[in-house]
Amino acid sequence: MKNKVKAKLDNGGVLMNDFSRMFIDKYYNKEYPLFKFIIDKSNQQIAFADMKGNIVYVNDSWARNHGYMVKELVGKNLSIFHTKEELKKVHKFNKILVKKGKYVGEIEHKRRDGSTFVTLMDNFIFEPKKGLKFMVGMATDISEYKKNQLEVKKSANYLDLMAESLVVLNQDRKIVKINKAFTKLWGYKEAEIIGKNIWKLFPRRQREIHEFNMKESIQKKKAVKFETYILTKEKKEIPTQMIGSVIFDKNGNLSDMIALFRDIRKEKLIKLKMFESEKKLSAIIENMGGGLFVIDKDFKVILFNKSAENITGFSSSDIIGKKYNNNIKFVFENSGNLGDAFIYNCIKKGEIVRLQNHTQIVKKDKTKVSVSSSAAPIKNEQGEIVGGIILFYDVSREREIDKMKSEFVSLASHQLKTPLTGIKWFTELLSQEKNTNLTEEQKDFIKQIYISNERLIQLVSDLLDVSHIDTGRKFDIVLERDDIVKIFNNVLEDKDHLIKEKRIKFIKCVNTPDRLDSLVDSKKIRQVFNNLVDNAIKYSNIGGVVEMGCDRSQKGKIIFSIKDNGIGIPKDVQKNLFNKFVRADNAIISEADGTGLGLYIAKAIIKAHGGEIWFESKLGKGSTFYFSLPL
Amino acid sequence: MVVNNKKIIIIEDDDFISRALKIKLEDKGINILIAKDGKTGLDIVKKEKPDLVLLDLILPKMSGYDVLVELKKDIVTKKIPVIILTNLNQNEVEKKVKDFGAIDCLVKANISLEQIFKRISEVFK
Repeated sequence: MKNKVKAKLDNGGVLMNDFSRMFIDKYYNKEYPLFKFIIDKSNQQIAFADMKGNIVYVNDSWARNHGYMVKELVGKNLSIFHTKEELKKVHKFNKILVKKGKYVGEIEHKRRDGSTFVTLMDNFIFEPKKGLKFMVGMATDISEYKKNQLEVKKSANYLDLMAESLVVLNQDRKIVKINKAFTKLWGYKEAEIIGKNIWKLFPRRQREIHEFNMKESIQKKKAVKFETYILTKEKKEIPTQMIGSVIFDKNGNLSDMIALFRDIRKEKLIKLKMFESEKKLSAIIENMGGGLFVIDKDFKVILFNKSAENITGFSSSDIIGKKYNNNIKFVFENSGNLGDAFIYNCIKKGEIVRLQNHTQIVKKDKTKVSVSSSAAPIKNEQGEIVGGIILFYDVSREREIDKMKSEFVSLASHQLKTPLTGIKWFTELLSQEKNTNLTEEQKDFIKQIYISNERLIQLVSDLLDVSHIDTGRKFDIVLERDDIVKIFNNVLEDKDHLIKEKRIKFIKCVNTPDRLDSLVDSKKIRQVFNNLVDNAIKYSNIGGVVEMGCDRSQKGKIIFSIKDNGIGIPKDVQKNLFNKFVRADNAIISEADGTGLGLYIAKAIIKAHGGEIWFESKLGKGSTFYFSLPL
Repeated sequence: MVVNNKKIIIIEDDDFISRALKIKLEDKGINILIAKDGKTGLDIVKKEKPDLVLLDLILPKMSGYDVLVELKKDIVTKKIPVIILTNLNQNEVEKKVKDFGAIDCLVKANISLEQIFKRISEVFK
């Protein structure tokens, strides 16, 4: 049926055809004035159409939402609001509508500009009188809602993708949502847990801590993180880390709570193992006999063990967090000067540095205790130095023993020297020229006694020197200004008979000054010259050449050399030559007399003077010994 | 000879040491007194006022250090030269006795009787 439309403007400005005018006049304007008012003002989009879909009337909301004016739409077919594809669906719906008289469903609508939106359509057939039927459609734009729904669906998806289990509670602490991980981890199915109280998930004893944290979270409006146990469906307790947060609505009222649970069994186990090994390690550190402290690279103490407390008298609370040298002082036993350079060197150079001998630590009560110590650097994975470990032992007992040993040697050598002096002096008296009644052989015997006795005396004083060097206590040198050349000449005078005996040619370096004053311990330097000249003569062949050199070309020092063309030193002994009791085989064969102490003592003396001693030697060609003294 | 008729006291507890010295020095015309401990030595020095004292350090009754200090305290004995004869071969010993006023410190085992005599002669030069 085609309606001829005579368009007229009514007082509302709405263009209507005859049919609609009739309809409105009769059923709308007159009989339902309020109804019209409502329809026109409604935000709901409303359309009336005949049973073929031709629009009889639309309200402003419908027209506007579809991009039209009301007057443009009257007489148009509803099909203009749908895409071709959607029309198939519409026809299907219309069939149901015609059959059942009403239909509610989602239909996509097309705007004038071709864009679409989803509507929820509430359609029904309006039959004001028999034979006169209208289709009424009321559309609600639900595209926003649909979009949200999609988002919700998506986020629900995200939650399910999470590896960590999640529970959403309402404000009554009832579970409203769990994610897939939750199901998987703890064994609950959605149906079993949704709507249940959250307390079902925890052991009873945990309730207090949960209440406390929940309160905290609500009050401070922030998330709380704590360790707890979750009960699986099988009532097994699993240690978890829980993060609980609260969601408030626009008005600031509590709406939901979210709890995340992370299984921390593995971490717990690792922690436990670490704790155990840490416990073991700290037990070792605490109970070890040595004092130990650890510093960072700024020299601040980060660990101070029990032995360190016992040795120093400081408690770790005195020390920790402060620079170690605020409290702990290492000093040299003799001078009392600070002796903690080894710690500094360790941190700066990144090497293990041992404390010099004869160092003490100043205790809290200001008394001193002898210690031996070392500092080792701590490096991180990149090899950077991040701190140091300082280990020290109370060696006061060892020092005491050393002291006793040194005193014993000193006393013993003194006691030995007295009878040796007796032998020396009486053989001297015996060999006086006035004792003419002695045979030549007897005189020789006396001479042999004298020489042997001299060797014994030398041995005793060497041993005494060695004991002083080794303990470091009494090897003190007394520096006085003296003429080194004179000292050397005196030694030569003493050796004169030996030189003559072996027919040694002795050459004194041309540039040896007549006099050279320096700060030396004359007796000790004499001993060095003596030892070196002695060796040069001893290990020279008869008629050999011994040369004394003197080099002043280097600033601030003088280098003496004693050169011989004797038996030389085998290579294998060379590196140990300055160690005590070292004698080369060829030396023993050529000259049985010798203790292997001379060079050891000479080195100690030169070192104590701040000089150096070294040598060059070729087996069978001879040796040159050098020593330097600071000027 | 400069040493002729000089009077020297040897304060030394070891008989054979003092005996060797006595033989050597008397041979050179020196008069020798001997004391076997520090206390006796000090008394004899005060009484006899010898020309020189040969003094050991480790002595019974009174140590050589104390004898030295006492001698240098007394205005009469102060001027008598003292040579220390010891086997304590240490710088610190030598420094100490020289500080106390000894003119020399000789190590017995390292010196011959002849050298001792020479040193004494130097004193009387």
